[in-house]
Amino acid sequence: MLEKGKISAFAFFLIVFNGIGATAVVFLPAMAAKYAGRDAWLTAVFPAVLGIIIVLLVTELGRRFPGKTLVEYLQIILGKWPGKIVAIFYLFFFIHTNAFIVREFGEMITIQVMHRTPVIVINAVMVLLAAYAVRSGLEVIARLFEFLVPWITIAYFFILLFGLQKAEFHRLLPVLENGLAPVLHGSITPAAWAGEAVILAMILPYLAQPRKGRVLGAWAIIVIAVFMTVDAVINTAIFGPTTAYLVFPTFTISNEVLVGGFLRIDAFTIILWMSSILTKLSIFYYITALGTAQLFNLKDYRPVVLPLGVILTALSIISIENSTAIRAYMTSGWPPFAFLFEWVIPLALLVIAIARGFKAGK
Amino acid sequence: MNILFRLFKKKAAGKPGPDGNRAYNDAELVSAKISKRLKDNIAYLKDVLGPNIDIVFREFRLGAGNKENACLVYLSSMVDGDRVSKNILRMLMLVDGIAETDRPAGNFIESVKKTVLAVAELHSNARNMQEVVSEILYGGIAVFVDGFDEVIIVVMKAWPQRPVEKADVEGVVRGPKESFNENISVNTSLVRRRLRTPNLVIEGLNLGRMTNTSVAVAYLKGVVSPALVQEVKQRLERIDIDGILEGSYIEELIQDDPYTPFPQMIYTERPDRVVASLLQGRVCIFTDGTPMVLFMPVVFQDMLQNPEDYYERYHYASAIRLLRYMGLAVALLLPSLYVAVITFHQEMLPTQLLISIAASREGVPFPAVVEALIMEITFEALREAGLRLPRAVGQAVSIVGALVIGQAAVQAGFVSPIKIIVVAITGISSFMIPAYNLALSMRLLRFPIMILAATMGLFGVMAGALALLIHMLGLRSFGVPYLAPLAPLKIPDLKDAMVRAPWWAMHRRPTEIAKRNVWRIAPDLKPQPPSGGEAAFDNGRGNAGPGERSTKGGGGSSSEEGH
Repeated sequence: MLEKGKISAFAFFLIVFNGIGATAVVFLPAMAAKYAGRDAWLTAVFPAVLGIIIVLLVTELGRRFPGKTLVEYLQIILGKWPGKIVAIFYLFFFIHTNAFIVREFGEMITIQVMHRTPVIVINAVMVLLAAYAVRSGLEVIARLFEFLVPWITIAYFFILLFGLQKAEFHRLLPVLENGLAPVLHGSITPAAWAGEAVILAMILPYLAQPRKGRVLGAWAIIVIAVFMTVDAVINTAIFGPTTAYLVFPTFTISNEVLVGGFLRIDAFTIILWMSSILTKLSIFYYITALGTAQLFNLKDYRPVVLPLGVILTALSIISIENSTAIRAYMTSGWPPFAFLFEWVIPLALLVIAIARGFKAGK
Repeated sequence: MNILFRLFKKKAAGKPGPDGNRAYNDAELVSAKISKRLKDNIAYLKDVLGPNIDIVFREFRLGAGNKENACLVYLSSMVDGDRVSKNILRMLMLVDGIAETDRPAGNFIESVKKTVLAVAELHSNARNMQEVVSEILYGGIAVFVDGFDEVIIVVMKAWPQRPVEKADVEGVVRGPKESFNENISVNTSLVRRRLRTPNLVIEGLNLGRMTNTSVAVAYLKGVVSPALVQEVKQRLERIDIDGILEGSYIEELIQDDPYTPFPQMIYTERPDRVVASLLQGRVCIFTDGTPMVLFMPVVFQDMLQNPEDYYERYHYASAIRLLRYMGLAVALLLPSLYVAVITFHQEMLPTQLLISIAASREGVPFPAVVEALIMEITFEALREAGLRLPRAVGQAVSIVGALVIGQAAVQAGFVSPIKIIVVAITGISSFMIPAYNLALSMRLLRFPIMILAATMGLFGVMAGALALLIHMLGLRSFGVPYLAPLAPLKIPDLKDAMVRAPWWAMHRRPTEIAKRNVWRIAPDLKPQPPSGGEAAFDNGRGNAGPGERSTKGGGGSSSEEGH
């Protein structure tokens, strides 16, 4: 095994939770509001259901191949070479998604605080930090989640709480004015986001008690859905329909409020989100590195970490023009692309695995 | 004394003595057997220890009725001369004959030990010259008797040592004031006195090829994890160094991560703290010549604790602990935040404050980072100078520091007053960290973070902090994750981490350290008033106040005993 570490149930929960939630709370309110308008807070339900289905799919696969990651059992289910080819696509999906995570953060920093700093500086520093965490191993990443995510969550709630002073809840009315269609339309991007739960397929074998993975993953998805709902409610109550035109609505809340009448908290929000992004970045980075090493049967994944980091940084620069492009891509191009890896392939794999008679272990 | 003096003179006048450049190694000494002839033994020891000023060869004849020649060999600087005369020489020279029957049976030496020498600690286990010499070098007195190849070693160590003094590094208001000194046996006795259980084990070994420093490993059987003891001993045994002058030599040679600036063991001068750590299932290392005892494994939060946390009321102790965490963050980050905010993020400050800062910085010719580096380095220089100077001059330095650097630098428009405030607060905060070695690391680490702040602003500060965090998350101290109980999260251990729960609520030892046997307190110790309320005190009224009688409801008093 490339990774000898084991992660606790709590850490696993946090990895699924913040591995999806870190960027979701910052970007999704605006993207969901684009189609769903003031009903954006309803858009978390459908993605949550789909997210749970993904967790079930992936844990079902995991039960059939205990101790094996996605990259490894792809080669068993599909045969060596077809499996390797699909695995390469998966690795591309991971690193590509990761490039977007990095760029989203870089864009936010350059837009909000460091206007004249080239975005590549921010991206490179973040990737370097994550590379350090990844090289330290899965246990360190798990502890990073355990250390940071509880604080981030508490602080995040405080931001929303401070935002309440500007909230007017009548902006949420009327509910479902145009029927369910806009809500479902607005749910597509969040659904792709919730589908990131597919990363679970790469870390499930390292959970100390793998059979708990299903429950923990499902709970993480439910908690995220609750968070996204609360987030959307407060954003809509504060900004009304303009939420759709903001780039980072939750961040804008912290721009708006003065704590105690004098203290601006936007800098703290950046600190908060930076820690949050680092966790998400490092888990995606980690599964890419681990998957690469498993794909090429390396003895250690550490040698590929820095080269992957270079690719990641480069991808984050060349594949995206600016933050508007991110939004456009995230709401139109990305969901179908993501759905392929998040739903279609796992479902197909499970079907093939059942058809080929791989039995579930205990 | 006269005799001794003559002995020296004789030696000096006689043989030229051994070649000064010839070094003896252990193997050579081990192979040298003890001879039956007294003369040979003396000659050999003179060859080995001859030129030393303090070596004494006291030849004499065993008392009336015995004709044997004998000789004491010892280092006059390592033993108590008075007691040698009284308890050894006098006994041996005046002895009235040892039972004739013992002689042929070869029990002569046994008889001398049993019936003549009235001293507490002696043995005749030495099998070769190496053992004899090493005993002599550590305050032993070798008694050679002509015709026997056995040596009686009498232990009468006496050398100058500091008395047990008041702890001055880790001072407390409430709590024991004793501290360790440089003598390992005094130190172990200070601990043993507080821990009267046969399960306390203090194992000894010698480290250092030249210094042969006594090192002791202490642990509490039944509490400590055996694997940990094994690991500590293994790491100690692989040490091969010429000398151990301080416990830190050992620390650097056995720590888990050799490159980290964060200490992975804690040293303390307080016996009560050592006992507390033993009770938590840790292992302690005593080093002779070091008034500090190391204990391990430790986690980061242990370094932000002070023994007094356990002696004071827990509310206050908890508040102070939280304050220390803040102090830690301030000591590490405040100068960098100053640089970042002044250079990049002026909008973060309230307008009034921003204006007054801008006004105070008006005449300052340097960018914030240069100003910060100048002042922080000056502060470090002052601190170091104040520490190393003779005490009488130290006063002068602090006056120079306070007046000249502070006042004059501001008046000259060299730095801004706000920077002086930042330096002062940073300094105070770093003194608030109880572990001095951790405080030093923090002081050092703030410089690279300042550079990051100057180049990338708040983002840089945060990047530096996160890099440190990742580094710390990867550290282990003897297998225990450094940031436990926060990461990995151990909820029961949080009772004694950033806050201190009252004793009746801290039921367990740190679970990461005392792997098994974690229960330390009975589950129902929470003090309660007696069930009868007022009535319970009724029969005591008139002759004794309720306070004297209520042992169960006494509350706080039980808190201090367990520690």
